[in-house]
Amino acid sequence: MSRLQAPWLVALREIRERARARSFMISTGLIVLLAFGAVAAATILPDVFEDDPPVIAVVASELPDGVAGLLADGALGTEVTVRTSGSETEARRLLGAGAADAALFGGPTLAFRDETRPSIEALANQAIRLSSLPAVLERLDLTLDEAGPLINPEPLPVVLLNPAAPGLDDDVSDSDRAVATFAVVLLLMSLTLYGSWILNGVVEEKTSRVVEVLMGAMRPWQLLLGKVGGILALAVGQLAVGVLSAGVAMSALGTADLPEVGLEVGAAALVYVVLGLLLFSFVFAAAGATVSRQEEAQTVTMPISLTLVGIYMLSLTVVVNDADSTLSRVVSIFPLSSPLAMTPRIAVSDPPLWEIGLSIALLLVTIPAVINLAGRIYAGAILRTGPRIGLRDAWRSARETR
Amino acid sequence: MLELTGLEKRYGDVLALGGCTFRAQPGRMVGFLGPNGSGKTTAMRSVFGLVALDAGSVHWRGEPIRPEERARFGYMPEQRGLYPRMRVRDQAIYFARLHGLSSNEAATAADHWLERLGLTDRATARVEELSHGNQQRVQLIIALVHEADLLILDEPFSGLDPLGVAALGDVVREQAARGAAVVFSSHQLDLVEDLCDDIAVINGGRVVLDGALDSVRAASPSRYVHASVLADGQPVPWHAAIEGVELLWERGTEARMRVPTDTDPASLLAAAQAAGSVGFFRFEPPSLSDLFMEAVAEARP
Repeated sequence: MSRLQAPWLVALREIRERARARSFMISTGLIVLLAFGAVAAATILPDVFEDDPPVIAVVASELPDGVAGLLADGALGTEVTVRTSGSETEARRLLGAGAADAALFGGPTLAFRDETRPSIEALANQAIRLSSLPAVLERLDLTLDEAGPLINPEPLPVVLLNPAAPGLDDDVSDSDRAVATFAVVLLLMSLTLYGSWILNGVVEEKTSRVVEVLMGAMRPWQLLLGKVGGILALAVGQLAVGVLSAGVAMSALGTADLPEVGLEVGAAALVYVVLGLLLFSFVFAAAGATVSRQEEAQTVTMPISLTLVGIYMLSLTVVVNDADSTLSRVVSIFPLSSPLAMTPRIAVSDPPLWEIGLSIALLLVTIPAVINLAGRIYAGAILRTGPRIGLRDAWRSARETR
Repeated sequence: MLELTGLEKRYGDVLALGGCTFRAQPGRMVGFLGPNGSGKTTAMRSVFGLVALDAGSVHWRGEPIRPEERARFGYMPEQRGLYPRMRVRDQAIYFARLHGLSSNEAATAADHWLERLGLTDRATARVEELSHGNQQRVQLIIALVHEADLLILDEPFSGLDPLGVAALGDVVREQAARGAAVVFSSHQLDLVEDLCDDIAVINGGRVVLDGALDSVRAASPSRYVHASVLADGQPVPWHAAIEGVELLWERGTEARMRVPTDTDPASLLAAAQAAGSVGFFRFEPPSLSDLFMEAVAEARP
């Protein structure tokens, strides 16, 4: 029997026994629902966040030719909805009823309800002015192309000598921010959910003492590898079901044109969730090995959970709102926090490729080191029963075993 | 052959093993006996590398044990260990495969053993749904399912009713007959006497008596007399005047005593007959229980 045969069998058992369990079916169902919900939300959210274009009630018959057309075409660079009205009375009625944000009628006069809206005012003025343009050009014997630069010159380039310190990044669209937040929540949920599977699995083997029989047939590292490998395979499978459902939902909801950031963030989230799971699952396993009772399991993983929640808060507050600050860059590159923090940063900003590469490289270096450390603590603690075993104690007894 | 040589292990101030040495041979059953806390479990766990020994060696066929050889061992730990929510047959197959059987072989072996121990109708039950006795059977199946070369059974029969003990005892006996080396610990000395070829008695972390049961018996410095001698319906102290006789107990009309090996049974019987009427008179080698008491008592400071 090769050395990897035992871990393989352990992993297979883990997958088969868990996949059969009702809790797994339920959590998979929830993930499918969540994927559909997320796609639906991503479809609807931009509409929620973006203001509807202003509505102007226009009495075209009382205004110069072309005014209504200029407004309605969006020719002035701003989208407006034009509601053509038959009379000033009707336009005023629409305005009064809130069905329009402004009314434009003979005079020409622009009416608002209780306060003016400068953007609409500017638009209306421009439309009135431009409507007279064809006649003027004809008189001057100019074509529209010749007149264009005179009427609408290239804007001057603008520079800031002392740009304001970055605060709430106004360039970040609300939908990007939503995607980032959603990604962080999902990442934290995945890490804690699958982490707790591993934790409970290890503790179960200790409390039922089946580990004693298992250790008669294999070494600790083989059991650890198989256990974590099996659960991670299930986790990745479950996440794949989620991604697949999202794909199905997209085609079902006709959302082929999801914002590009969605795909980028999705890919980043997948990479980082897998790396994050690799990093944290062995830590959860080692923590589980140091306790003998299920009740102690939550206590022993408290530091890990608190760390994760801390990074989560940091990602939601600092990274999402100020993605390129020093702190955001550090937490998105540092290997313990990058699994949670880099994805939201990619969602709201455009971190340089080398920073993403560095964070992945650091994870790839850190993961084997953590596995090594966790494996040793696991080996030193897994066969010891009774009160909770200190880390140093476990470390020492690992040196003695076998 | 399994050889434990000079095993030593301390847990803090507690001495678990202090030079434990004994061997187990293929085709023979060793009854591993000792008072509570004498080091039996520690010694048995050391065979599977579950104990970091302070000194001593565990050899199989003359060599330190390699993982692939260990996979050919079967182990029933004192504290039962099974996956509570896993189904019985799946569990047997899983452990068979961990011990190197192919999936077909494992399924065949699992079905055979479920049948043999009367668990076929519980094959799809979860272990936690079984009675204590049936869980015990499953635990034994886990140790047996891969036709182990060496079986280490730590109190395999504790908590079983006499029928269960007899059934499982037969099964274990068959394993030795098939050629496996079997070591099992038990406090049920009569059972060990019925089943075992060899014994090893451990006390205070050291093996104080071991060997083939017959030769250990023969080598004992004592013989035992169990008799009922009455005069006028009352037991008489016929043995009081004989040198070397040690009274162990008197109960009703019966008495049991220990005498030196070289005592002549005929002269003893003659003394009894002279004192009264002899209801019965047995002169016998020590029972396992006697041997155990002798060994443990001698070793006690």
